[in-house]
Amino acid sequence: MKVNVTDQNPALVSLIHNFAQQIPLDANFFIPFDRSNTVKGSMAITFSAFKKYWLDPLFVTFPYLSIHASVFNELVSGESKKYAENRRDQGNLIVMDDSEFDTNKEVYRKSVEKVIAAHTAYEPELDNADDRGEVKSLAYIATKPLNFFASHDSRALRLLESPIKEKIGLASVGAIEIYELLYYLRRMEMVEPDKVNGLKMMYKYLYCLTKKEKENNPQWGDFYQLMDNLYKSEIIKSTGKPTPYSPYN
Amino acid sequence: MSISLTKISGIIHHKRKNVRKITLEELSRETNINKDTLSRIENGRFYPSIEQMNTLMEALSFSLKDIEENPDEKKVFLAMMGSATTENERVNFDKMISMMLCLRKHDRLRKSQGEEMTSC
Repeated sequence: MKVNVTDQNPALVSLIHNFAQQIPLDANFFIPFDRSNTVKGSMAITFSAFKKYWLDPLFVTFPYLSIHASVFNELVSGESKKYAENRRDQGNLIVMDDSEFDTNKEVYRKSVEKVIAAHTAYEPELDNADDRGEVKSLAYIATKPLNFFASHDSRALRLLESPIKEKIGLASVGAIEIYELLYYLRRMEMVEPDKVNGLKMMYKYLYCLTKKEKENNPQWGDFYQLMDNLYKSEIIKSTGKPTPYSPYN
Repeated sequence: MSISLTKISGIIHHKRKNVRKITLEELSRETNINKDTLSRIENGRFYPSIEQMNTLMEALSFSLKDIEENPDEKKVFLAMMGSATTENERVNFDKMISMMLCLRKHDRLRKSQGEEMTSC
């Protein structure tokens, strides 16, 4: 996937100014990255590394992470599912359920779901698994309404770039990608110093693994500098930062 | 039940022009909905938010019932399934419905991705 270090993402700027906002996550945020099938010689990231360098810092940083019930149900992997269940039970993860809407809102949600589904492989009538999580998440986000959708799926992110976002009031919904949150976690000093290399490893694994990716995306050091060029002034102005990691916390 | 954008745009246009006889500017002032947004809603190019929808229903006196979508294909498919009198007929209906939905899915994907899909 391509890393954008030339344009500011208003969604990330919004998070920089107020970290305490609800962030709906796609399923891929909970499933350890595995490119072993597509990139020769690469190995899947273990759940323990994924938890240590990605999930735990994410949950320490953002108080209102959320996931749609249909996405939650898609988490079939034992460890991911168990982790999400524990976070939900501890009150750290909001499960967004369509049943919370009243009749009018449910009618609206269903209508919006149809419009979004028409651009995907999901068929509301069949309730098939293809693109279901993304469609249901976005229909919920449009109905609530919420400001963000965080995903690592290019098809899901494309929905927020397609003409439907202008048609159903998703225009104000910002897409947030993993590299932006990796930068955020590092810049806001949300991880212990010995875990900074873990963020770098995640970045490298996702964005600089193949020859083509190395040509298209900057290496971690350059990436961090280029992101700083885009966001540092916002960070300086921000009054809504999370509490950074401290050995005394 | 779901609502139809065509019906929303139709009823708003009808009520505004023929019943209330007001301009878009006047409706915009009354509802606090941007005039351009109202125009896009009336032209069937924008799904109003739930708040905008409630405001418009109140201002122009219509209900969700008035903008309800016509019975969808699911009911047609279910009716077809229900009319099967033998197991063999049911299996064949099932196959036919799957094919129809698959074709429709591909049609949608072609439209949204602008490319040819070749396999099911």
